[in-house]
Amino acid sequence: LKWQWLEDVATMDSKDSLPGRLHERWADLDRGWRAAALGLVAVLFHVPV
Amino acid sequence: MGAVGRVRTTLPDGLPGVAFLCLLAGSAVLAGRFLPLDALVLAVAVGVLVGNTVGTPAWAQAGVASHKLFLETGIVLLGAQLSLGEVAAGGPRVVGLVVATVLVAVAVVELLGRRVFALRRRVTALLAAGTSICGVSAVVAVAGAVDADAEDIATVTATVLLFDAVTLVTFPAVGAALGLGAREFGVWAGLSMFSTGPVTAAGFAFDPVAGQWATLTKLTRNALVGVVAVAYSLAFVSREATSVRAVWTRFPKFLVGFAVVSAVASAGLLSASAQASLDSLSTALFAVAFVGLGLDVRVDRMRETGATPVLVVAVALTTVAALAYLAVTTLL
Repeated sequence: LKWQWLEDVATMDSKDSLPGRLHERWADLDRGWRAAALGLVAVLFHVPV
Repeated sequence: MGAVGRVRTTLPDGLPGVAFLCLLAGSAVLAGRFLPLDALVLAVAVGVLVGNTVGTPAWAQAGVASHKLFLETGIVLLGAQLSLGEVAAGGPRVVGLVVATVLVAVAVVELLGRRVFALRRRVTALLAAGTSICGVSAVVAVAGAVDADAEDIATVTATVLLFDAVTLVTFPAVGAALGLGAREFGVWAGLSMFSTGPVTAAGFAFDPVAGQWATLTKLTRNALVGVVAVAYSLAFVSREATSVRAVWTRFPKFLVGFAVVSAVASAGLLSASAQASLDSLSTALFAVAFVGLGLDVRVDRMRETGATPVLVVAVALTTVAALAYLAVTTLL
C-alpha cells in the first residue's frame, strides 16, 4: 500500500487515490486561488503559534 | 483529462521547466552580486536573451508556462510588507497627500498615455501603477490584475527602473537647491519617486530625518497598491463582462490572498524577521517569474512600443513632483 501511494504521488495519475484526487482538484483550481493558497501557506509558517 | 477549455500542467510534466526557470533565476541573482544591476532586471534580461536566441527547450515549455503562478504568489506575499499601522502613523495630512498624489499620478499617466500618445490600455495601466505607487512591485501587481503581456511588463519595468536610477541622483540635489527642510524633503521624495529602495536611499542621503519621513510616506503610498490593483482589475473586467457573476469569474483571485496577507501583517501577527523572510521569498518568486516573462518577450514586438513610455513617465514625474512640492511647502 505504501509503495502504491508513493507511486501515485510520483505519477499523479491515479484518480482513485488521495494524492491523485488532490492533484486533480488542484489542477482544476483557478490560478489565482492557487497563488493565494500557496502565499497563505507561506505566511502561516511565519505566524508564531 | 483536463477541464473543458483549459490547458493543465501536471506536476511531473512541469518540474523540468520549473527547474529550468530556477536555474536561470539563480544565475541572474548570482550575477546581481557582481553587477550594479537589480537581480530582477537581470532575471528579465536572462530570459529575453535565452528566449530570443536559443529559445525555450521543448522539455521545459510545460513548466515555463506556469511562471504566472510564481508571479501571483509573489504578489500575495507582498501583502506582508503592508501595514495599516504604518499608514496611520503618518498622520491624516500625509495620508491625504499620498491619496491625492496617487490619484493625480494615475490621472496624468492615463491622460497622457491614452489621449496624447495613444498607448495601449494595458501599457498605460502598468505605467500608471509604476508611477503612482511603488515601481516594479506595483507594475507586477497591476500586471497580474489586468493580465498584461510579457512585452508590456518588461517595457514598463525597464522604464520605471531607469527613472529610479535618475531620481536617486537628482532628487537630493534638487531638494538641496530648493532649500527644502528635512521633513519637507522626505515627504516630497516619498510622494514623487517610484521604488521604495531609491526613495529610502535618497531620503537618508539628504538627511537622517528626511530618510525616516521618506520611508514613512513611501510605505503609506505602497499600502494603496492593493486598492489600485483591484480598481484596475475591476475596470478591465467590467468592460468585457456585464454581470456581477461574470466580473467575479474574471476577477484575479490572488488579490483576495493579497488582502488576507495584508490583514495578517496589519494585525501585527508577523515579526520584523518574518516580514524580511517573506520579502526574500517574494523576491525569489519574482526572479523565477521574471525569467519566465523574459522568455515570453519578443524583442521585435517591444520595438513597436518605442520610447513613448519614457516620455509619458517623464512628464508625469515632473507634474507630480511639482504638485507635491507645492503641497509639501504650503501644507506641512
